[in-house]
Amino acid sequence: MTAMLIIGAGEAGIAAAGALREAGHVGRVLVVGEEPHHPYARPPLSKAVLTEDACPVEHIRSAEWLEERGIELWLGACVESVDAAAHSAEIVRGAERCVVPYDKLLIATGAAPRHLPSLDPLGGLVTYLRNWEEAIALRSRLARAQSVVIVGGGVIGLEVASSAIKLGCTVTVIEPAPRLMARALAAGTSEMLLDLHRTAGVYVRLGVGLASAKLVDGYAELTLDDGDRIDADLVVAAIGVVPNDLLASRLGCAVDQGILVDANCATSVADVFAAGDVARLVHPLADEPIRVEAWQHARRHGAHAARAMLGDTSPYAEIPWFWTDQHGVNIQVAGLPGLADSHVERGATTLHLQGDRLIAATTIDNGRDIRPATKMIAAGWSGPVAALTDPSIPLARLAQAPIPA
Amino acid sequence: MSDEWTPVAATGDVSEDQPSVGNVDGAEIAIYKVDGDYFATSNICTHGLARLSDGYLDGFLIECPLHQGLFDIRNGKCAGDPVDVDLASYDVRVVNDTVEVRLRA
Repeated sequence: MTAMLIIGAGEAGIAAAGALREAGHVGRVLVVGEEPHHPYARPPLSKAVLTEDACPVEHIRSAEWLEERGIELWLGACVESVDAAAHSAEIVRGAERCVVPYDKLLIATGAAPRHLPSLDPLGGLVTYLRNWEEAIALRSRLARAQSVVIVGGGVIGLEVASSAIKLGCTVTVIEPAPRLMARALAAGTSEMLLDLHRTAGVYVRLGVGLASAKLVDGYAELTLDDGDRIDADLVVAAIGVVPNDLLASRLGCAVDQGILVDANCATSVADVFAAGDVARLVHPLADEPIRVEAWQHARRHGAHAARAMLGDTSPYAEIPWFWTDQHGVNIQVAGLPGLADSHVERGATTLHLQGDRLIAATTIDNGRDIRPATKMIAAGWSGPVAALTDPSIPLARLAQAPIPA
Repeated sequence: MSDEWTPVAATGDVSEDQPSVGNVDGAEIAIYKVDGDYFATSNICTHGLARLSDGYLDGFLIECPLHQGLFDIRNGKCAGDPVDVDLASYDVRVVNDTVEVRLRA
């Protein structure tokens, strides 16, 4: 019987373990996670966990669910090294150190917040946000804070801004790029988002970076590139993540801003796979390999890796999708709007095209359009813009219609 | 009372394209029509706070517009992540062109 070892107990790792059993794998399935907690969902950490008094932890799968499927879970355990030739991993678990043999290995180690050295002088006034402890600590500090500065106008920074305003803080967001969520959104959506934050009372400083930070009488004094100064009693650093790809790199996997994988989640090393935030994958929508930092992708990519570990060779082609909730507004994006060269408005939905091909859709409080748009993107819909702009034709109907020649 | 039938909509007002909204004892419900048959569930997603009537109906599955959770409209059961609490579902009958519902025990 073959043994499957999964490193990482986040969405991708747990989805992979479940998918292995669903596909009929009867050998060992061992998931090793570094955090001491039972695997939990991260989307609420920047939202409800910050704003609600006692938001319960949301488990990805219950302990019973895993047990019923014979999935072993080692928590608080660290994989020190992997010997790819010998097909074994050295794992430290409490005081115990053991060597675990495997037939196939999945690396689903996720990503970690990017460190911002210029904030180091502020010591404990700086918070990063990725895990449960950080979210709980941030919650209690937001409850006491008056002036919060968030460095980074990406999705995490902006969700924290939205939560902090709700809690009555004075909030400033500093973003060196000329617009918000520039990597993930089309320019028009960034503009709408800027308006949304400013209307809610968030001070947004675009196109200006942080020059320096120092502690003055227990407060943070931040100096911006343009010489402006902002005082804060709490600073949140949210400038993106870096993939946790060191272990993979050490065991010999090709790594370039993430573990490089093919459409079957295979790395450059035999019997070693990677999935989720840590993997940089080939995708039919993009010419270059991409990393997708999103909840649904992690689950689907993890499950796909599991099937690939069992020999399935169908390529991964799921359309990336994410949502964000800010100031009570729900924004969803399917596909990759950053690759579009034109945009078509359909009420609260924007469709993004590359030439005449539909490659992405953005909805503002209009999630019902996401599924039909996703179908159209996956099917490679292309055609005249006029076919998309008629609001009297529901997108669902366009999605069902044959693709125009 | 919940063991009684409550009229919630005229049959002509419920379209196959999009769920309608009704009210039973102060609870908002969604009324669906698929291939001429009517179904009813609570209209509020059990995950985020969202109206399923704003969602996407695909066969017997309603998708929440916020986070894409799926429910089976025939019984309110969860049918796709991230939801894990079933919806209240209702028995449905049509009396003289009026859709009536009753909370399912």
